[in-house]
Amino acid sequence: MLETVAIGAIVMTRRYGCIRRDQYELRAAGPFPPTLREALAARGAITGGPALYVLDVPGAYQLTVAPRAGRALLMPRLSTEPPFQRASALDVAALLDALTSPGP
Amino acid sequence: MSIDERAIVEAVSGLGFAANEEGLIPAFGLYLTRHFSDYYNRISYAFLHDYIRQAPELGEDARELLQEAGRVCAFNTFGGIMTSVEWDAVVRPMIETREDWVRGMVAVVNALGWGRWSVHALQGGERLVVRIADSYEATGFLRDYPGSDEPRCFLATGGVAGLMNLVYQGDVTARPVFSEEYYVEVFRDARSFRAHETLCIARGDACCEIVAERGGD
Repeated sequence: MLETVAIGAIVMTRRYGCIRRDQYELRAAGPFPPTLREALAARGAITGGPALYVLDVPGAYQLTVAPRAGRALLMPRLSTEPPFQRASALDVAALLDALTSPGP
Repeated sequence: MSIDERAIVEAVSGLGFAANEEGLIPAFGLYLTRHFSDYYNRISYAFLHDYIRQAPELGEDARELLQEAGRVCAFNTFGGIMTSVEWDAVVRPMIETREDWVRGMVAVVNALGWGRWSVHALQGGERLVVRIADSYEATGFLRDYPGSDEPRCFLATGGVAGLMNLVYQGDVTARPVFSEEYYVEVFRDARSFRAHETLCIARGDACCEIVAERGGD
């Protein structure tokens, strides 16, 4: 484990994957909201069902989501650089936090 | 029984293991390979036969090396699967006992095209008997060779031992780091599980059967 960061209600854990990329795990205290899938669909193709789905953003990353478990894993493309990989994960974490955290 | 194998196979099969534009298959937090089983079989059996031809006294070592490949595969692949987001989504909600971890992983294997695995007997913490119909190793062997006096499912044998080591010798439920040190700790202990194939279609049996038991004290 390389890093653990809290982005609001989301805990992002960065783990070593290989020399070209790290893996980013994103966790919430409870399930992700159903609105997450629709929000992610704007970023790329989504496959899978309500219990497990995968967002693929070509040239960037693959995000596997277990919404009921409140857990997602971002696997960056090997061709991307580490700063981009981390920025992508933080971006998804921010989206998750915005959808997960209670509003004003 | 709480494990719904049909639902697991359906969910895992539905993931569609296709390569991305980089030619890689990211799944279960790992990169999978997808290639012809005959390719792996031919390399394995050619290695085995060449080894025995050149050094007959080392035949058992060659078989052990092929099984070790299965154990290492189980450690990394099964370990990765059982700690993955996909597992949490599909299998984890079904789990009620530690034995369900074994049954759940066997169900996932049945979505991977290795043959049809079934848990024939499971004594929690002590013994597992897996039967395999249409093992890709044995069927592949019989395509290229007339038959064998001995079993030929080396990867599966290592895999079954590996599964028991992950669940009962180590603790995959605690999401360990799958390091080389952890492998040695879990797989090279005197009480670590070892497996042997008791039935194999390569030698004319009706199915393949693998038994994993603890090493002696």
